Amino acid sequence: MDNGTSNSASENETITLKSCDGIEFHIDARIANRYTLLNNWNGGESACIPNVNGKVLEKVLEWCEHHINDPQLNCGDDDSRRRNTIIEEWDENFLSCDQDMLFEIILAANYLEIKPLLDLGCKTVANMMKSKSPEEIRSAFNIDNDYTPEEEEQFRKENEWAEDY
Amino acid sequence: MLATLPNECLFEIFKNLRFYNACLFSCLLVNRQLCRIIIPILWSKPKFNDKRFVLICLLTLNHEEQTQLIPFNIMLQNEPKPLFEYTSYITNFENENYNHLISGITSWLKSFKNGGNKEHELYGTMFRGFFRADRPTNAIICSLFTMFLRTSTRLKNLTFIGNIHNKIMFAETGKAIADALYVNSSLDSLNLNSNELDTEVGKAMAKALRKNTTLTNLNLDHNQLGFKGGMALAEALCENRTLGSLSIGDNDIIDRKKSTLSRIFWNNPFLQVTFYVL
Repeated sequence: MDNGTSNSASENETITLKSCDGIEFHIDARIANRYTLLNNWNGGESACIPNVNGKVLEKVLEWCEHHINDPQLNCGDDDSRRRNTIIEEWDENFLSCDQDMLFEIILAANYLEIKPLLDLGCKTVANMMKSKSPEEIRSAFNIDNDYTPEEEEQFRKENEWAEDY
Repeated sequence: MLATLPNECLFEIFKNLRFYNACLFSCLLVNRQLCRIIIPILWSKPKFNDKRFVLICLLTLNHEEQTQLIPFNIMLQNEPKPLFEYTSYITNFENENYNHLISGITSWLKSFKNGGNKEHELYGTMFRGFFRADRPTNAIICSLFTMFLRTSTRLKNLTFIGNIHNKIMFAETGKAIADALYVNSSLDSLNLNSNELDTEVGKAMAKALRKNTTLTNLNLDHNQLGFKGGMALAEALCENRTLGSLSIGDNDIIDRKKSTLSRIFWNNPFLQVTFYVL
């Protein structure tokens, strides 16, 4: 089966990843080949991931392992990968963690350039914002309102055309 | 916390909501950071047929563009200037948007005139399913196009293909677009097929193309540029190294000196010119 994972690593090869807080993970080498996630991986048996801690790296690698046989989309910044707004059940469960972890995963996926996971995380956050008022969004995401009342009113007026579908 | 994510991630999040205007509207009112990220997404495809959209566009007009509207008693001095140059984020303008814009302007004009306690007037009428613009509507359209091309940083494609119901009124807009192209540096593709554009438009277009360095695709098929319009374009395009494709079929370009025009065009190895329409 050609699933696009055109790399030389065989199924049994493993490499060792080390998180920024020194926790080691033994992963299928195909994961390392599939994503450019290991910019500092030189093909050797181990690599260090700065900026990502063990707790987050564990989650990210769990996702990568689950999706190891997914067809690989060669997309760049293609809209096609964003057109699909449906989130698979497994992914939904995977990301129904607390908000801080969700943002950590997004950050790590962005840093490690794991595009499909980044998209998934962003989609999940976007869905959390649907049908909420500005005040509800502020309290759901713990955001301070730094508008002056006049400013807020003017922005409201200038973008009012978007208010209804 | 959401605020800990870098702007590039926030941008990815809100791009998912680009078909949900009402949702983007709520999000942009949350705080300044989200506002800055969302406005370019929201305004990339605005609702051209909404009179509130039209009002913001009118408030973006500069002094010169406003002056064009004085003969029609359209003056908006008491309104505050918009906080963003919103129109700079529009990415695309196509045929259907033109009809939407006329309908938006029509409904704005109605409420504007009624607000001024003038007698109710109907601007722009539906004719066999097409909107026909009248004088004030058309003046507004010309000013708005001038402004769109002046402010745009992301407008890539402008298409307006004329039809029997709108071509005559659009000829004026065509001139405004050609003039405005002179200051534009975002447009990649311009299609003004079938709009009765005349020699003057050809000359204005030529003037713009001497300076323009972004346009790669220009379609002026089925217009009335004439030999002089065609010559002006040909001479200008000897200097232009960006335009890759030009269509000027069916334009009354009768070349008495037999292919003077083609010879000039051949001087530009980067350019493919189509003189005939199939």
